[in-house]
Order: sequence, then structure tokens, then C-alpha cells
Amino acid sequence: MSSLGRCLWALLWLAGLAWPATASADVRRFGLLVANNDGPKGTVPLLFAHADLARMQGVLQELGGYEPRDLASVTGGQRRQVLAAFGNLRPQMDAARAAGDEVLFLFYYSGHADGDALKLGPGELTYDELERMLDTSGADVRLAIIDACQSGALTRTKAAKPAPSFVFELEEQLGTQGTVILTSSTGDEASQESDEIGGSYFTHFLVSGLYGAADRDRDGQVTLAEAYDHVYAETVLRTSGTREGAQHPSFGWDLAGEGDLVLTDLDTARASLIFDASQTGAFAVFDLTRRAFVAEVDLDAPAAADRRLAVRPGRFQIQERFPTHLRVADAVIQAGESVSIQDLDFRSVRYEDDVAKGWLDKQARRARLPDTSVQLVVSRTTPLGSDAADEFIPPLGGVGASWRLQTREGRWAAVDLQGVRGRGAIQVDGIDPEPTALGGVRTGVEAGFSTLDRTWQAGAGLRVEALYLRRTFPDEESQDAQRLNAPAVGGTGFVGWHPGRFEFDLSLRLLAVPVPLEDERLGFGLAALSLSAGYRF
Amino acid sequence: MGRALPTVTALALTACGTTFTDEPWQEDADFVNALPGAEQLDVLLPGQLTSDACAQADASTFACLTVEAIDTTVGLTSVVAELTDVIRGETPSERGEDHRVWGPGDWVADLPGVFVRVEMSRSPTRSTYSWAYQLSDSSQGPWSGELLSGTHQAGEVEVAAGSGDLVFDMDGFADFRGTSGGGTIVIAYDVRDLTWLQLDTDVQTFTWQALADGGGEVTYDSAFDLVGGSADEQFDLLARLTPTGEGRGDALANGGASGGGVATASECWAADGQLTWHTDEFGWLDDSGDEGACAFADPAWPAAD
Repeated sequence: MSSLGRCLWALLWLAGLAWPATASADVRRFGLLVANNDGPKGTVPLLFAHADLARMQGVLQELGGYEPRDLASVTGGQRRQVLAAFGNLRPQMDAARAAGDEVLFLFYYSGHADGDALKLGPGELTYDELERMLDTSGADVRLAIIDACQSGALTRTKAAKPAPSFVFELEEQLGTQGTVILTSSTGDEASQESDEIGGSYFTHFLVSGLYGAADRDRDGQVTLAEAYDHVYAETVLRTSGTREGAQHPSFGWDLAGEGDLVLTDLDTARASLIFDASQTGAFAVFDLTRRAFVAEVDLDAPAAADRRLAVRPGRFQIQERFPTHLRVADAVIQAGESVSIQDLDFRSVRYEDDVAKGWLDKQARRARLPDTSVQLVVSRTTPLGSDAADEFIPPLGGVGASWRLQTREGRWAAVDLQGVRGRGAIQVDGIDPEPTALGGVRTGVEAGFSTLDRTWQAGAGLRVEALYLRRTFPDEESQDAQRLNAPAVGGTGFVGWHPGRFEFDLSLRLLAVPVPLEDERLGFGLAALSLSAGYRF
Repeated sequence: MGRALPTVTALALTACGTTFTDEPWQEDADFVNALPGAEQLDVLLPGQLTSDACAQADASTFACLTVEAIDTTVGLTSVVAELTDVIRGETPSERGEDHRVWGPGDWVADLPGVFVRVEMSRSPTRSTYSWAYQLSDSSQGPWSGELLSGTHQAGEVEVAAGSGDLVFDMDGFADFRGTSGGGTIVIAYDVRDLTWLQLDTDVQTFTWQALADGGGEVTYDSAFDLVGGSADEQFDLLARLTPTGEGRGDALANGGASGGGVATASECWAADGQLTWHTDEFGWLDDSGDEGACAFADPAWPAAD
């Protein structure tokens, strides 16, 4: 344990951290987990905040004693969604307290922040609001875990914009009785994400610790003090060699009572991996079934008891890391089974053959991919600026689909395919109007730039389109159908409302079709107004 | 540039060889618009000169003759105009580069069970159009001869504002309907500038020439028993009308009871057709009125046949 970690641990102990020693049956635990990769305009989006939330949610449900109905999460949402989720939880907490249960409320956040607020996309949740949320929860113990960060390249930097001491601000504002605050960094430090672990260092080591890596006394329970001690030591160690320098998690509390706060109970695990008391070394455990990095376990020296790592039943790879190579072993762990790593057959492999690293690299690449969305589109297309177009092309209604890519930097591209149809009439002086029916297909590719704002977004770009129209004459069966194959080029603009993963866009496209109609030489124009509703994956 | 070339090429290829065109319908209209319609062939007599004026007891005989002749002519041309309006709403059953066929169709409301077939052709220069209506009691035929036909020389400014003729085969109509014959009626027209119409039947000829000042000039010649006797007299009339409808008619009669000589008759009338002056050498009516009140003081005699 580092000296600073020991110091904080001692302070915590001396302060008489109050809470029943275990996660007993009369303690009801509630959680609100929030993550948002996006920050305010000008910040580089994070890659792994949403993944951090998922890992945190997993360990809390598996080992933390949180019922799924008591654990709310807001991924990619903004202040309004956070407050709404809290509003849904609060009556349940009130009911639990009225029933005589003791209540713990955990607030977890992974995303951008500055000295005043958590930055949720273009919006924010101020620390005042967070403080009120914790206060009004009415919980006996309020635990806030803030992994607030911005990002860099392979090792991204959280809170890169200089800001006042993050922890100091939180402590000043949330220093109420019964509140514990755990943050990913201190002062003006940067916090970091890593491709190597597929997440932020802080959450990675916190989750790893909660699965058992932090169970220093090997009693099968991971307490708040153990978790903090573990996450502090590992985070500082792993970030000390990064370009941004060491990152120091911080801790603040205002609690009274006895005992330590148990965060996870490893006895409730459905399966376990056992590191024998005599085992030493640096181990990493990967879940082959779910392709996830489970935990890192550092065993400095032989101990008096075995170290247990809780896992979900499945296939695992355990790696023991040496400076020059890895020793790896695979294990299948059934439900209710505990497998000792001493019983596994380890083999040596080179670092470049590390399968798990390939997954993580792939995960990082995938995290950098543009957002993909699929939209249903309805449109109305009308001719522009040409008598001939007015004559030949009646207003066309269209229905189709669009596939859209949106980068985090505000670039976008889309392809779409629409079926169109309309009815018109040939108007020639001297004879009665001849009804016409048009049907066809429009397919286009477009690309451009947009604002970063996710809830409200506007963009503009260029479009290239192929237009196929077939014109028939319902009252004149003997007349052959006419066809028009034409390219179209032009501009497109849209405004969109994107609540959560849903997208609703209003688009206007102005296109030039350089194909003459009859005796007009310059082609014609089209204006297409479309409404689309989609889902972002 | 290298990447853009295939895209541009692909886009260009998408446009090859296809487009929309209204040419068949514009061609249809070209044919239909070459048929003389009411707009071209209707004649509005100057002033208040109408058939109602002839119901007056003191109406001018020559004025009424003019009105009735024009009404007859316009009535016949309106048949053509109505049939033309019918085929404006019909799609041709046959389209060729310089011909069209419409029908058969039972389009004539007052001839139930009668089918009409219309065929038109035009010269390659589109300067001359000819057309013909045929009738049948069955959509399968057999078809009558050309009961109504015509030719049209396109006008320089507007195709329909040209000249031509309409031929009514009244004998053919009679044969078709099983009634007595009526000869052939030919209406010639020239509407390139001021309207000129001529109605020509087996027994009479009538012409109308509109004048630039809004008035008009009528000639009428017919053979009928004007003064009683065993033989018809040849009657020729030249009537002139002012823009207000006032007019003067001067007629010649010869043959028949006239004994080989030529007798004259003249009348003047007011704008409403009321007789204002009459004189004749036939003993037809008593002289009346004052020639000095005539719109035209001097007589203008028709060319005698």
C-alpha cells in the first residue's frame, strides 16, 4: 500500500466510519449510475465511459447486493434524464426507510467534469444539484463515486482543461453527514482512459477490486476502505508512466459510527477463481465467454489465506505477467464452482500473441467508430425552377430508409434509398389533360459537417444522387412507359432532435438534375423535404 | 481527380438515353387544333342584328336574309366544332407520324347507337390537314363514306387561323339514316385575317366578308320563284352593314317571270333590323321610307349570274 493510501485509510478508520459491518439483509442498496462519453463543445469525446458504467453495474448487481430494480442507469443522457431517474428512485428509498430498512444510495458517474459541474454532453449537472440529490435521497449513507475525465489518444486525459481542485470542490459542497465521496483524481490532475484495459484506469481498478482483487484481508468481503486502497495504489502505479503523469484518486467522507462499509460480498458469487495463500505474482483475468477484462490481481507476497476472485460462470484465461513473456492458462468455471489457479496448466506465450490484447485493441477501435444509425424516411419532392419539370414531374411522395454514420468530431455521411411515386397530368393546349403516374427510386450518398450537440443537432453537406423514374399513362394502356435515369447533385441541410438513442430529423435537399427535359437544355431542379425517425446504435 | 472520374462517369451513364416527353400528346393537339372550331368560324353580326329582329312585322327582308344565312352557316360549322370538342377528350386509337385516328366511339349524344370514326392526315410540312368523319351503327363498321370532311391550310401565325373547307355530304347522311337526300353543302372559310365564309349548296351561295371597320358585306345568290310564275328567278343580293348593324341591300333578279330583263330591289334597315326604306321593280312590296336616311346612300349591285 502506498503511503498516501495508508494515510487515508488510517484517517478513515480513525474517523470511526459508521456502518453495519456487512451488507446485511436489513440494508437496502440503491444506485444511480450515469455515463456520458460526450462533453461540452470543444471537448474530445471519451471512448469508454459507457463501458465503465456497464462494468460497474455488473459488479454491483452480482456482488454488491443491489437488486436490478433498485439500480438505475443513464447512459449518454443529460441532466433531465439524470434527475428523472433519481426521481424514480426516491420514492423507493423513502418506502424502504419507512419499512425500517437502512438505506445506502450510491451515485456513480463516468464522463467529463470541471470544477463546477458534471458535464453531460452540452448540458451539466452542477455540484450544487448533485449535493441536493444526495441530501434529498434521505439515505443513511450516500456514496458518490466520480470518475470524471476527458480523453487523449492511446492514453486519454480526463479533465484536461485546467480546473480547481475537483475533490476539494466536491468535499466543500457535499460535506454532509453520512456522505462518502470517491473521485478518480485530485486537484487539477488529469484522469485517464486506456486502450490497454478498455476503460478508465480508475473504474477498471475499482471494478477489479470489487470482484475480489481489493480483498486485502481475504475475508470474502470488499469494504470501502479496501476498495479505495486498491484503486488508489493500482491507479497511481499504472498511470505513473503515462504521458499525463500519475493520477491520484481521492477520498472524502463525513460519516459517524462503527465498522467499515462493505461494498461487495464475494460469498454471493456464483463462481470463484482461487489464488492460493502461497501464490505470488501479477495476474490478469479475462472472461473468454463475454470477452471482457475481469480483474488484475497483484499478489506481492504469500498470505495467510487464499485470495478469492468472484467471476460469472464461463470460460476464462488467466495470465501471469512477466517482463518478457506471459504464462497463460484457460479455465472453465461452472456455477457454484471454485477453481484454484494452482490446478491450471499454464503455458508460456509471447506478449504479441496475447489474445486478450487483441480483443481490447478491437474494442478500442470499435469505440472509435462513428455512431451508426438507421432511419425511416418520408419525403416530398417537388420540381424547381423549370416549366418542363413542373410539367413532367408532379410532387412525389417518398418512403425509404437511410443509414447514417456520425463521427464524434461532427462529420457525418449517409446513404439512403427511397421509393417515390406521384400523380400528375399532361397539360397540352387543345386536348384534355392526360393523367400520368410516376414511380421510381431515389438513392443518394451525402456527407457533411454537423454540430456536436446530440440532443439538438444541425448539419449541412453535399449530396450525390441517382434518380430513376418511370412514367406511365393510366388512361392510355397502349402508350409505352417512359423512363428517366438521371444523376442529381446538390446540397443538404438538416435539423434534428436526438433524445437518447432516437433521432428525429427534418431535412431539406436542393438538387440540380443536369438532364434536359424536352426542349429545355439546362435540366431542372428538385427540392426534397423529408422527415426521418431513427435509432442510433 | 482519379477517384472522381469513375463517379462522374457513372453519373453520366445513368442519364443515357432516357427522358420524359409529351411529344405524342403535343402531336395530338397539333392535329386537333387544326380542325376549325367555334372560335374561328363563329360570326357575330354587327350591332343588334339578330334573328329576333326578324320576328318584327316591319323587319327588313334583306337584313333577315342575311341573318338567316349566317345562322345557317354558323350552325353547320358548330357541328364540326362540337365534334372537335369531343375528340379533344379522346385518346387517338391510332397514331402515325402524319396521321391520327380517333374512335370508333359513341360520342354523339343525340345519335345514340351511332359510332363515329375520325381520321386526319397532314402534309409532312404540317401546312395542310385533311380530315373526315365516318359513321356506323356498329363499332366494328361497316363505315359510311366521308359524311363530313374537310381540308385546312394552316395559318402562319396560328395553325387554326387558316383557310379551308368543310364538306357536308347530306346525301350520305340521308343514306345512313334512311331519309331523303340533301345534296352537298360546302362551307369555305378563310380566317387568316378578317373572317370570310362561304356557304355553297346545290341551289344557293352565300358569302360573308367581315370588314376592318367592324362592318361586313354579304352576297347571296339563289334561284327561286320570287314574283310568282312558272319559272324561278335568279336572285342576287349584295348587302352591306355598318359596325352598328345598319345596312343596305341591293338585289338583282333576272330570268323566270322577269321576262329576260333585270329588275332591281333595294332596302335599308336600322341597327335593330327594322326596315327604313324599300323600293323594287318587281311589284313585290310598296315603296316606303326615305332613301336619304340609309346608312349607304348609293346602291352597290351584285354581279349578276
